[in-house]
Amino acid sequence: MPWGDKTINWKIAGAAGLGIKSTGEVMAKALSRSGLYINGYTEYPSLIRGGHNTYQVLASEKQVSNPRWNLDILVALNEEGVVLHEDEIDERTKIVVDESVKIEGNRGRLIQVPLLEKAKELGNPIVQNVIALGVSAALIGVEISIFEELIEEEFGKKKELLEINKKALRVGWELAGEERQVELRKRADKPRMVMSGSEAVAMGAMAAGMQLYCAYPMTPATPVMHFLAKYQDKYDLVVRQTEDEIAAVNMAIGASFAGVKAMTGTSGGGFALMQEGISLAGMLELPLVVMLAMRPGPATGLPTWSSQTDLRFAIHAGHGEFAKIVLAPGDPVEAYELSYKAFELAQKYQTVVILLTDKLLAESHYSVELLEEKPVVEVSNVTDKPKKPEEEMFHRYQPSANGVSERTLPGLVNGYYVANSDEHGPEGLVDESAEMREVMVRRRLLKLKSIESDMALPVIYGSKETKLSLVGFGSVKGVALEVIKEFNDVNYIHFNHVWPMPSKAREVLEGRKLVFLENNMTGQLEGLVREYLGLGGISNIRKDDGRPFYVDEVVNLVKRII
Amino acid sequence: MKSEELNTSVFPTWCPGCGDYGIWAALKKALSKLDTPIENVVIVYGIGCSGNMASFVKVYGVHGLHGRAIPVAEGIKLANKKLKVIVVGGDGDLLGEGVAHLVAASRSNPDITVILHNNQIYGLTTGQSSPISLKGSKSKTYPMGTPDEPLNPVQLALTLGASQVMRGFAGDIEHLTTLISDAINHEGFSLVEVLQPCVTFNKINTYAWFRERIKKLEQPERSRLEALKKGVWTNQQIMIGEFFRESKPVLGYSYGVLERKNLLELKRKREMNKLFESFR
Ligand SMILES: Cc1ncc(C[n+]2csc(CCOP(=O)(O)OP(=O)(O)O)c2C)c(N)n1
Ligand code: SF4
Repeated sequence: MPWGDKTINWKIAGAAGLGIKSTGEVMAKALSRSGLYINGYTEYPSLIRGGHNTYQVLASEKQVSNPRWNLDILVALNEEGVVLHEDEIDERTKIVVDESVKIEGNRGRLIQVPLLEKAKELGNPIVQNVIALGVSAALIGVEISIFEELIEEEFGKKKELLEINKKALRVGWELAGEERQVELRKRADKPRMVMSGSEAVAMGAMAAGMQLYCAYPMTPATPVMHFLAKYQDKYDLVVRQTEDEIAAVNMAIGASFAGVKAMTGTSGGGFALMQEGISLAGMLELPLVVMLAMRPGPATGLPTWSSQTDLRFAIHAGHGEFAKIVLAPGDPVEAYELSYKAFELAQKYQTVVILLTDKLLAESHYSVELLEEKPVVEVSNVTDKPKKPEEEMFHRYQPSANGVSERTLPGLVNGYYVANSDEHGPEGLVDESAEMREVMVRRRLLKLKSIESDMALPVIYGSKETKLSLVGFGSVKGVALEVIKEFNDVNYIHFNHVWPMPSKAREVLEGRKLVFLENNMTGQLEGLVREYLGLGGISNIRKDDGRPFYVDEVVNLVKRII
Repeated sequence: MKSEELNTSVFPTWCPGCGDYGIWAALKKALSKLDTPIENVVIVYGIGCSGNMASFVKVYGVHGLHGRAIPVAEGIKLANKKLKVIVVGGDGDLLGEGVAHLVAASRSNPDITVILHNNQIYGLTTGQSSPISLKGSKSKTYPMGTPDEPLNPVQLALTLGASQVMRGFAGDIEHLTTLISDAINHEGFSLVEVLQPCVTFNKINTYAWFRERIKKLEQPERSRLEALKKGVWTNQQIMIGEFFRESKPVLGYSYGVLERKNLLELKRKREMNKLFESFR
């Protein structure tokens, strides 16, 4: 593929344990350093397939935001690596595979090389993945020193490993033989970051000054916890792995009561367990940030795959009626910005903010321009003026114009109040009277009105005047941006502030032919738009098989609708 | 401070004669003679008759969820280590709904004190069996007798490595006050099980029943094994007092950050640019 082609779609596939993911990440970074935009997508299921892992990198001179289907290069570390991806291969696809693997009657161009033999010669069979990287570097035509540099960064001072890996890279480069690209891509002059949605969420929270992250592991939320745990000491924060999700949410609430910025994160099943705690934060009116990384349900569902089936669940989280906020970033930049904003809003309105992501966003890698630092979010609405002499205790739940009341933090003399999950009066002491209930329930819901003014309107990508508008939320942004490139008269309207749905969003959507694009089967966003904005779509495109939408797939469907 | 000053204007709604009054009195007494300023005390309550104490004590309080007071308390203590954090809950609360948290906290040793009101029954929900109800005892949900073996919180906590384990009696306020203040002062996780007559729903384990059987420990046992033996309930004898105490690292010390500083006071701007650079 000469670089006139503009994009390269590379995939490595093989058994779990062969370092598929880390090899893929090196490829993503190398292509990024050579000046291309990348999108890295990983699949690592699935017990039925016997632990078959893949990592796919799409790279281009223009921004790319979603995996594509047809492969230019497939590196298969075993036979399954080819067989299972037959559909993604056409006659142009170069298939790099060990010479021992017997492949019959497929359409691609086989490049059989002695990966394993050479790896053994070097003294470590595992480096076959690095040899494969060397072959790939030659086929794509990327300067090998970029790969060497990445390997150096990875192995650092472990001299022996470093040497083996460097040699493996060279061996691979040589093995490519005549297939080697002559036209070389050299280093980019402008650096970009290669970042996953999880890393972006974690860094948004760090930038906001989050002090405590407590969680119980659950895919695909866990990478955020891993990342924060790794940096906790350096960045002065604490990560606590709790006994379960119920403990996690309650612990975060306790820390928030004491004045600390706290967050928890999980996926569907764990979020189900957190419901009572989310409701508690609503009643106690304490700031709480919860990341909900969606995966297909119900129940355990498809643990390592993606979907957008929990939008309604997030909006309706917790029992009883109270103000809550749901934000749904569509890419790492939004993930960073909205993770930060989640802390701002949680403080401002003293309530729960749910950050809705999914496996596709959480575990894919994207090209991102350098992010910006931000000031630490202040713990707000806290007073150091204790109770007035005529008051028995501090009036923490004092009715106010926008529903938000000042609180005190433990430690303040005469600031005592009870954060009471029972209905209560201003000082938090129990009060079951009809009058007080009425005052308090209205007060808590009053916040919704002001929150609405902080909800950004959906953004239109592409031309303003079009035949048809795709509408989506969260990570479908990626595929939607790719799809609209293929049309002159289709644009994309993106919701990332999904709840409370801003009523002014109506003005953005009104008078257009809307086609809702969602990774779920019931059209959860479409339903909300109908319910809260009174607007319907002319059609919809839905999918919930755990896989992301692919560009061609959506393009074809859009063509049919037009 | 006098312990009456800790009263709120809400007078307890407990049934006259309930053991909760004794625990309430002992807790207030213990707080009133504490060295720590009272504004640095936070009590986290569960849900139940015991948890209703939330509205009767004038200190910082969180009246949380049924069974979930311990993780809230742990979060508060992690956030601000200057605070003294106390949990008040029932046997249903801490051993039924919330037993996982009691188990976890016994193991991880956060510096909190848990006061477990043991009335062997669910009071607030009007008299169902609790995880401590004696096998065969009759209740609204088991009119023919509770089928399960009762848990023994003292023994449970001991086997899980809790650093301080005690049992007191709601009918002996003075003794209970000493136990509670010792527990609050102890650095690490303290469990204080309190024998608490429920005069409305438990007609067997009455004040008189307990008084006939209770015997006081002179001092803590040397080993967990000895303490375990003393913790047993028999129909003849129930020991109260401090069973065991051990000094060991408190949750949080394994975190470099917490050893150096108080989480609450960390407001430093984070130097993110270096981190961003590492993503190239
Ligand atoms: C999740 C949940 N389940 C059930 C209840 C109902 N409930 C309230 S108090 C209680 C039991 C109280 O018993 P115990 O903890 O022994 O306290 P006591 O009332 O005896 O002091 C139950 C089941 C609840 N509030 N929340
Ligand atoms: S029901 Fe039992 S535990 Fe509850 S207040 Fe009455 S006597 Fe006390």
